Amino acid sequence: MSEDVRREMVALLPRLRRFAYSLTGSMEEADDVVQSACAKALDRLDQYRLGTRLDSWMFRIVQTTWLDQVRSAPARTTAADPDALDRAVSIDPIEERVVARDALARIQRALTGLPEEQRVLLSLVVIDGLSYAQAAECLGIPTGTVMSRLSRARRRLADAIDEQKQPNARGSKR
Amino acid sequence: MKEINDEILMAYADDVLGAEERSRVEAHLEADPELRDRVARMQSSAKLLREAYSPPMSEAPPQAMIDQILGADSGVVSLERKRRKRPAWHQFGPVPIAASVALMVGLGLGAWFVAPTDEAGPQLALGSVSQDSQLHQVLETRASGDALRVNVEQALVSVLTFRDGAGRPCREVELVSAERSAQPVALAIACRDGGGAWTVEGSVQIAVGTASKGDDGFAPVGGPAAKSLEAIIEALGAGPSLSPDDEAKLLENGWR
Repeated sequence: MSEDVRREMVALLPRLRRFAYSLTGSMEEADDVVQSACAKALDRLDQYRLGTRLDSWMFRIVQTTWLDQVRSAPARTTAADPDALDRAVSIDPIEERVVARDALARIQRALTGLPEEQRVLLSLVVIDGLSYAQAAECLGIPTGTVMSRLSRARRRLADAIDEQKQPNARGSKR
Repeated sequence: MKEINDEILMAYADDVLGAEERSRVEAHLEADPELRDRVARMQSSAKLLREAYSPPMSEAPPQAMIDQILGADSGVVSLERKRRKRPAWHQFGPVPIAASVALMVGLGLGAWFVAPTDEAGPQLALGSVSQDSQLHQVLETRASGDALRVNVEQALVSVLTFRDGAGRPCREVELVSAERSAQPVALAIACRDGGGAWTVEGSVQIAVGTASKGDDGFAPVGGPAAKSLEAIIEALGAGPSLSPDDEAKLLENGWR
């Protein structure tokens, strides 16, 4: 049985890596997170209940691993990692008026500028395509909470994207 | 009428409301351009986000990661590692004239397509591969990662080569679609016999999102499709995939 779960875990890797990448904004850090998450999952394989969704369980472990890293190492954002530096100066893309060169960087800035809990939900539902209920299961929160958090996140994301498209829009409205 | 809050609006934008709720929202939308604008913004920003994160990390996971999970001595031959990177759509080159003509005439694209039953689109048909088909051309002559565009929307690309339990050279081929950011819509494993004939031993159709979701339909690769393909590869008694050099030698020497 453990062999089947392991294979299923390997099949999930592309989704887990994309999820981690959307959270960290750096491929290297994303793979770090996924690697530690998998190690944790394998350690606790006995806690995984057969018949439940492995993806929900794994997404949750990836998310908590990421949060642990973010919280335990706030100094990382000032390290000499170009990705990290980039993020550190672009936390508020609207005020910084940073217009990124390509779409990915622009969207990444918008996404990484959001609070962690909103980022997680956008990633699970919009990027990975989970339903609200599945996302709720991953995070162990009620579906209603998912919907209210996610709708706030969606609004902020749309605002951030709009602001980037027209960097002067906000100024001219005033 | 009850107010339409952001959550309901979002559920409408994501097309997950029941029929009754949906028509209630639509009644509001009809009367309120500001609401319509909010729905449009939610949909377009979601689309941008999804598209932005579609290409990154789509390459095969690092082998070390796979080994860590499977246990290095599990004896499982993983072919993931050597799958060649899928080129971006714009690198697929111009549409071949013959293919576009075939499209216009509506004759389909060759012997390897099974057109009739499947609504999800053409698939890589099981069985022998016609010598003058584009699939044959890719299998016989193209290096892994070198795509052949078959029409305006689709291209064929081999992603890896291996030998099966009987020593036959086999290749995994993907039919990729521009509409889905060069992600595969179908996968197949074909093997070559001593006489030079290729046979599709197994193929997998990857479901495209439901029609109601329109062009936002998204099915991550790596789910059931990848699993069934692994099953086919295992059933063939596949050895490890060939290195680019070994593959190049086979291509040069006509698979001898």
